[in-house]
Amino acid sequence: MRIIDHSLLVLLGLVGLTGLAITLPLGEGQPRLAAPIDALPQQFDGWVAVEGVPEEILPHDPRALQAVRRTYTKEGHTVHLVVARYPSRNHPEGRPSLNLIAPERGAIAVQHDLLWIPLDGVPGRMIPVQRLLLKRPERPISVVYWYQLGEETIAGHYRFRLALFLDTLLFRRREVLLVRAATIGSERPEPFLWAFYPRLLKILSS
Amino acid sequence: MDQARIANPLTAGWLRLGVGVLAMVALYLPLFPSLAKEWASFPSLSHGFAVPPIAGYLVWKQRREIHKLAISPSWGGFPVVMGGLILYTMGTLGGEPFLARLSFPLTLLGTVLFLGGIAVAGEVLPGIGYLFFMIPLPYTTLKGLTEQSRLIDATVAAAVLPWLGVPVFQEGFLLRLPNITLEVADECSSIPAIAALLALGAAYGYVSGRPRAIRLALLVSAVPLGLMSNLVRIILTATGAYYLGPIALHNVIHMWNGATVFLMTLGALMLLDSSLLRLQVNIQRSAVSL
Repeated sequence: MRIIDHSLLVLLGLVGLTGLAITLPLGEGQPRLAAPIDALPQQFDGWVAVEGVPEEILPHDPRALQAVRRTYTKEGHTVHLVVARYPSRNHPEGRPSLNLIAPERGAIAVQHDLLWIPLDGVPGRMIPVQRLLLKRPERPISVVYWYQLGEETIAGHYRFRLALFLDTLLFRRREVLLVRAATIGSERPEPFLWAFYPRLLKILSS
Repeated sequence: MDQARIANPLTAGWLRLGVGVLAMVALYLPLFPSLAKEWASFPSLSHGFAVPPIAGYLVWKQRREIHKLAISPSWGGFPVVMGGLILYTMGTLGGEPFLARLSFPLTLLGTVLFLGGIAVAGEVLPGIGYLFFMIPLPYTTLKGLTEQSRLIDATVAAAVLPWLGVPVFQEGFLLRLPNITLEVADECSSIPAIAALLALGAAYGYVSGRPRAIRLALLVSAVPLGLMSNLVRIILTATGAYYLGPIALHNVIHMWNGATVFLMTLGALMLLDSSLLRLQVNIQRSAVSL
């Protein structure tokens, strides 16, 4: 009696094809020209930067390939900014670490919401960004963050992950950045972000 | 085909099914090292090691029923296999291991359906379906749920502790006692253990051979019972910390929180099981006497 019949042949054929497909060399693939994030301006619209951000305000993420960490001040207002680049290919250990977006460890309470900001300066065109409000024993910290996939601004984790997943499947390599801006107490980051965002997009499109 | 005819296990059909299943398992082998690493790295996922043997047992348990069946391949299995393999390919190439892992039970079931037929697939469905419990949920999902549960745990604990003579002031995740401040940390939440609790409820109900209604009740109850067990553990720990000091935090109940919640939930499930069974017997007796 025959063991190999058409059903088994079909199945083994599918197994073979799938085995070939999943071992395809995809290449690490970063975008052809990485955006020069360290060329982000140190001074603009009255904001002046010094290098460095305290680790307890915006933790360092070891998964980042490159990070710019600056503290901007203007007329007594202070915003801590970190712009970090990540691999352009979706991978569980290559994506920004969710636990290191903000100093959540030891926080008394954590509140999430969406902030709508007219980031690109167009009146009436609001862009959502994520905001984490951390109540800490020493001081409250607010961290506003979003993902940049090339020139596309993405607030949600799931949407970012889906976009990166599709980019990886379609062999499309865009710049992956996580932008974080932290303020202390009741300081609001919006005036800084309105000025900063167009300059970030300019760097990404260059 | 006559389903009651006893099939010789050495027929070509069974051999084809065996070869097909082995080929499929071999295709998925690259997934298992990273899966096992996650099971070993996170205590709340360690139940994953137990899931494949339990799934194997659930299939083996049906061996007499399977032995009576005849192989009757079904082309209905083809789209299931194709769908599973497409998911596996997309998950692997797209860097989403969750999708790839989710496809494994689907592809396996499709293989049995394709090469073995509907009747055989029906008998192995509980065992293959059980494999879903070994797949960890994406961390993005778990993180949000864990934060919410930490706050609920802290709030409920803060409400109950005064009844046990423990003065407490809740500040978010913190429980401030007169002699110590406790944090309901991520590790204290039972949300990451939801899969383990569901796996426990499903296995317990199926192996106990109870009627379907009781099995469903046990499965559905596993999660709330587990969450309650974790709350009890937190409250006991805080009470111990107040009356005995920090040494209460270094006991096995607190440090082995995953195992403690698991065992407490198992105990609660057994109690619920015997209560439901007694209730069912009483209802049946009342129906007969009427």
